[in-house]
Amino acid sequence: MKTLLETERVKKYYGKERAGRNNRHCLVKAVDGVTLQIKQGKSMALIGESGSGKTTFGKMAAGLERVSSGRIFFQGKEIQELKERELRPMRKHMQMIFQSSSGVFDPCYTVGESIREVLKNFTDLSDAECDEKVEMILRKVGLDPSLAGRYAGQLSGGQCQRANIARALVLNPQLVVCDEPVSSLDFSIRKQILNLLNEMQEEMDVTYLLITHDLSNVPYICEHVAIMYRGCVVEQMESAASMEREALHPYTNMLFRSVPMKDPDKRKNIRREYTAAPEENSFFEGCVYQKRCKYCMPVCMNSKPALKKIADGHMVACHCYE
Amino acid sequence: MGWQKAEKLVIKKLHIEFEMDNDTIHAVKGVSLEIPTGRITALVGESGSGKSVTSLAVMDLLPENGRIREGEIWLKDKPLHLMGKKERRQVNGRGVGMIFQDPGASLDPLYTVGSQITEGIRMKKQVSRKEAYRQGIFYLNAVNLPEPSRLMKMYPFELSGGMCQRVMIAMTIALSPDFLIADEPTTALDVTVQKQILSELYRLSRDENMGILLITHDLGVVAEIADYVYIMRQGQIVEEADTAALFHHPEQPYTRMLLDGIL
Amino acid sequence: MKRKAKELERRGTARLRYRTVFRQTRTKAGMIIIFIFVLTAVFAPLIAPNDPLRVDVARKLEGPSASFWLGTDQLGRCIASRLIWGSRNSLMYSGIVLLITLMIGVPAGMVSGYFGGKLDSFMMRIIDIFMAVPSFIVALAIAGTLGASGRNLVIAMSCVYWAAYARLVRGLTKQIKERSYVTALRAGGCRAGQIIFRHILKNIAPSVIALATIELGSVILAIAGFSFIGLGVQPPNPEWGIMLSDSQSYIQTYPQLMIWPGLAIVAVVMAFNLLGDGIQNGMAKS
Repeated sequence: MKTLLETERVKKYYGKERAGRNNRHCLVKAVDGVTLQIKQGKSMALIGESGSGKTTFGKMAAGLERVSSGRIFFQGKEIQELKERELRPMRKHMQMIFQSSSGVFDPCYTVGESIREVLKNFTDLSDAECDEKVEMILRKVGLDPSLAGRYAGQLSGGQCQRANIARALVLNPQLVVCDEPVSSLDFSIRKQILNLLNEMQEEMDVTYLLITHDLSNVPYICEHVAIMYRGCVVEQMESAASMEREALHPYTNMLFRSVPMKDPDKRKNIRREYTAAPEENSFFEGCVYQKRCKYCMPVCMNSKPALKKIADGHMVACHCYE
Repeated sequence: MGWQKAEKLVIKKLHIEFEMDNDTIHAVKGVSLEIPTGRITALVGESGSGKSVTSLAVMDLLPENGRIREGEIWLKDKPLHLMGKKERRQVNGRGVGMIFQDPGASLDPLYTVGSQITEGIRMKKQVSRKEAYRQGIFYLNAVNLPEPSRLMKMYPFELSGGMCQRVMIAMTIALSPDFLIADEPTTALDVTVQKQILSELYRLSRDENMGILLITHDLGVVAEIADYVYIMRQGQIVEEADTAALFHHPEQPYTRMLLDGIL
Repeated sequence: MKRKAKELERRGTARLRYRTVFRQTRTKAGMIIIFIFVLTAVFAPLIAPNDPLRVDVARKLEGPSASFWLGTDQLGRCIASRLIWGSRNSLMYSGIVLLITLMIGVPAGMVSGYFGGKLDSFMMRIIDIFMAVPSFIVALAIAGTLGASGRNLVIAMSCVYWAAYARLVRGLTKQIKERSYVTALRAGGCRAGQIIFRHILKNIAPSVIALATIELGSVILAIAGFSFIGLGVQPPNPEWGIMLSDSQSYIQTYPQLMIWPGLAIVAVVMAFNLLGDGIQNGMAKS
């Protein structure tokens, strides 16, 4: 199976390392050494809370943000050093679906015009052919083609997100980075949009990098899963369907316990201990999860655990499993 | 049920209208709710169903162009719908408090957490600044925030979303209201933080005997902590039941559609 | 001007609601006056009853009559014709200043705001320098070196007025750059130039139009002012400022020499201010 996207120890640091007031360090390690491989046809989910660095990583993977260090390979070609001019032709193959649905379209142009612009940027189709393609892609995502004449502000949240998906898929890319595609939508339409993404995956042979904080989104679309915490990948699995059963890292387990119960009869005791999240920029050596981990040992505070293979297709970064 | 004996916040046949561009929009059409103390009542609906508007009416926070056309709102035995602005303002905070969806936007970014809590307490209770500060620390502790005395000196932008929301809860419960309206309190937060906030709300309802109206569009949250559920659609209540009954035997097709949408 | 620009920047990139704009009475009033002004300026040769430069000392300082609608000035020239041709001069000079300032200021601001970094810092320093210098000094300097004329006045004013537009546009561009759709456009393969001129420009247009409309009134006033003190358009060109300056000695004896051009200036400047205000009010809050 071909490797579509590969990243090697990618880092993104903001600010400079210097002691501020009260000896606070001003360096923010948004992404701290992430090595991942996305294979063609096997969509991957990147799960993490806000502040875990997943959105930043997604933007770097899509070529919309520069890395601080590390390498990114798209279809075997190294892309992190490319200038904008050289990167542009490759954007045809890697697209991004953004979180906020209506903010994605320029409010001065209709949705149809925006999609047509994307087509014109990469192909030499005539106006009529472009219009045909726009109509076709809108139908595919379940929108009436007459909506192409509307402005983004005139569409509902669900319609806007479908248009967003249309914009990303119109060029038939191979990789689509989906940054929280359903988080800003009503619950009743989330399922529809996720099903749509799944259909498109099969129909158009596109691979997704799904970035989300909601575990329930994952099994719909992805087979591979990576869990991120504070810029590092702490666990990686290749079977999303059984991830709840097989999860090993303490953080992953906590994520699963936090998902609301679907059945009121199975309501667990919800009075729990609180694990306060550490300060934003606090610096510490060792495992990134040590401050919240129940099983923290002295070794966890000294050295950062590396991702180790536990079973076929399952890697964990935790000293408990070494 | 022991609910009958509990004190309640009752909304009877409420109608709310909005004036927009020479058009009158009938946002809420004859909604009746009962929120008993000591329980969590959920109000579920999609965007545009009118659920937030109903709660704003209770708090007298409707925008300029909105008004209550008819209906009654009873806080225990006080008729809120008949009160003037001044009286309503006294009821707000002490009788019924509210927390909103976006915690970051609910706090003034220019003032420290401490000054905002102190100001909030002193607006309703006749206490000195020192006493209000002390109470502020007490309530921050009550919502399980770490190092409350240090937190009082921090600014809202230094806190995460979950911490901001807990500060909001602390500010609201500092006035010991009988009822709390939580309008989508966890929509903007991660699952782990959501869990903590929901636990907090559960604790408030059981330990402090607070009546909580939880407005949400997430049925998962409802299943987790709500005791009674009202389903709202296009300004009207279409179904209401105990949580378990609703999940196992939904009557209305709309309810079934919402339940199907759970991932 | 700087205050108005700050206010517009604060309102951000709101959308222009044309219906709200044109429904207001102030906008309608302003537009009517401006319409008359522009018509008069364009059709001056057809409307003016006499030659504005024709001197006839025998008929000086006459009152209104059939051939001289508003009477004559101290050299026997028809006041009405001078007023009509004066509007043409005002419109022409102010229009040119507006055009130059927009064509320099807006692209400079957009490029500076979009690319940021060293280019932005450099541009901001230049803008600061130009905004710090009062237009009067610049006009004086240019008049002193190149001679006083309408053309040199236009150069002087353009030198000063472009900076405020550039700064407003830069601020707005920076606001828009952070929005999701700009990242989406980059992902969609748009070049920087495309993003700036096709997308950002259209979004900031309402604010720029609002500022330009208000500014046009100030420019007309400034041109009249500079011509009044002799730094701009030179006599015997019919220009409202010059007419005012000529009327100084006759204030008590023949006040109509001062009243007519004065009224004209007040009416036109007020009209532009009303229109600009109306546009600003019509910008819906984002």
